[in-house]
Amino acid sequence: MMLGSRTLQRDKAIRSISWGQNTGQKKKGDGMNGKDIILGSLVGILTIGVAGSVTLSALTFSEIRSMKSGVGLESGTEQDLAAEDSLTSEDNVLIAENYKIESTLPISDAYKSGDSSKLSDKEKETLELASKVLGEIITDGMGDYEKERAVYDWMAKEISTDSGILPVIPTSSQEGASPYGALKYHNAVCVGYATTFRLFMQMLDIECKVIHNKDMYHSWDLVKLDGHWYHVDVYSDAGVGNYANFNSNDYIQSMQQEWDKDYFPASDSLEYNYAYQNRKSAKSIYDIPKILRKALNDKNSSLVIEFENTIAEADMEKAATLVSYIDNLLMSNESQTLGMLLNYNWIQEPGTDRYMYWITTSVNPAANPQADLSQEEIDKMQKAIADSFEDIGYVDLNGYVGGDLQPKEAAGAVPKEDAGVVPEEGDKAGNAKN
Amino acid sequence: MRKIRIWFLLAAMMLCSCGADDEKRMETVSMYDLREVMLAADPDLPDMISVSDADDDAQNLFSYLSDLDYEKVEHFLLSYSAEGKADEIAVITVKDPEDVNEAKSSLQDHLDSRIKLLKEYEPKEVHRLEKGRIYTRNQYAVLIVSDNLDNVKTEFDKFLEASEHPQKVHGQ
Repeated sequence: MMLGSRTLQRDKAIRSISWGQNTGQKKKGDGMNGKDIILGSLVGILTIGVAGSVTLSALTFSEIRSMKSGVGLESGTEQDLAAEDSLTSEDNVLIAENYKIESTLPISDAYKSGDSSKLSDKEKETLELASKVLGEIITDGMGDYEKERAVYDWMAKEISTDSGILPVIPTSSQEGASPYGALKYHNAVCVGYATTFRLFMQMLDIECKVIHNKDMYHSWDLVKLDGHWYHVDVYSDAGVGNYANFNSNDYIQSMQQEWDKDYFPASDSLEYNYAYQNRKSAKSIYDIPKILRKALNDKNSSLVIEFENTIAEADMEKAATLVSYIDNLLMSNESQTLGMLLNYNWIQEPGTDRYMYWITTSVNPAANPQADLSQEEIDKMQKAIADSFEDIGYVDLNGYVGGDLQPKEAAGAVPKEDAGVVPEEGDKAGNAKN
Repeated sequence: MRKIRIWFLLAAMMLCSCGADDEKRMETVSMYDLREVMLAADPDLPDMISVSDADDDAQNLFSYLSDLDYEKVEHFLLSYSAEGKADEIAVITVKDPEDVNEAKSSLQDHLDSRIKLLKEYEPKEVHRLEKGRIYTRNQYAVLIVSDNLDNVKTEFDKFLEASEHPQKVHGQ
């Protein structure tokens, strides 16, 4: 398309010369003969053609370089040859066509040097706000992982996502795309989260980069711990803080995002991944529902299951089917918190040939239609739904008030001996099967 | 003979230019009235924000809808969900009908961008965007993302039909 438009320009240039040739013919009275005119025109056309080709190449290259994937290259010292050839950059990148990722080094350098004289007023205020937070959450004796987790916990809890990014004409201000806005107003878009997290890491002398996806619509962080890089997306965990997007590796992150892997460093470790550190053990894939149910009841939204024995390929496929049934059940269950999704896949345990099952859930309490309802209203809805849909097995709404995943006994329901157990087949409540 | 040829040429030029003007430019409708009609056609629209070329910052506002050179724009209207849902109605009126396809293409780019954004942050709205329709009529390029898309389109077409053939509307 770009080449086509450049060709159009060149054609227009040639047509203009043709028109000039006609003009030239009208100017015979100036003393030029026909041969001179033809020769002059040919030379002109040839010159235009060459100039056009050169311009075409230069413009095409320039357009490629100035594409939204980033303008120019950061002259960093730690980029390898592949990164230097890449057109991606970390900073000065526009995300969602509106939000610019800007460097936070001046502020973190000022923090470490104690000299803030070169900072702007806004940067000084940002430094003050960030320093105050670190003073509150970082204690002596913390290692890099503990510091990183403390920052993640604070940000996930204290900063709200700014949905003003969504309207056609966004209402999010540029402040929400910077640490200043995130720390002052406790409200940010993804760029604000990513740059704020990076600022904190830089202040703590933990290596960190802001990374963005190829579509240029989302950004998050890569943080380096003990020589290994990890993906951290605080924005996606904001308000929940469930570690679902905390210290993932490339394999897990690739399930959700695509980025320039030639530019950004590889992430292949799970050592500091929360779910991996707290992984559960299973004998077979048929233990997955029970383990998952307990994780949901405990509000653990990120889960890794390792198996005592090697899992056959056929069982790996069955596991996906098994979890998809649960996923459909959770999605179709009106009494459950709306917007609950399961993300699941097999992941290879780093450094081994073993595979583990990785599951995350996204639960949005704000999407729970019951969140603002009184018990009387819920009971009324329950009766209305039951009167019309009881034959297809709606679960009692009162078992899941407020997002609590512990089912409660309701009138007419079969008491369950173990609250964490998935109802067996032949449930007397008459629930339909998926 | 020469005088006859000159007069003939002049007459031909005048006739051609009149014809060219008719082809080039039709009377455009009120964007405000058009917007009201289109919005009314979908009673299920969420809270919408509307902007148009009548706004003070029109050119800047237009840039959120299209990258078409604003010099080519006669009028535009844009109504979109205040909460960032998929619902959206936009009309670009170009000065020269020859530019209407460029306007249409810019609306497609806009829709593609919306899909990318909502795929990231509001994925359950994406399928609604993918059902959006973009089309042209004379010098109008139209984008409709709505659960009552057909109604909105019908009302748009009727409104324009009425403005193009006012006698028909009044039963004359």
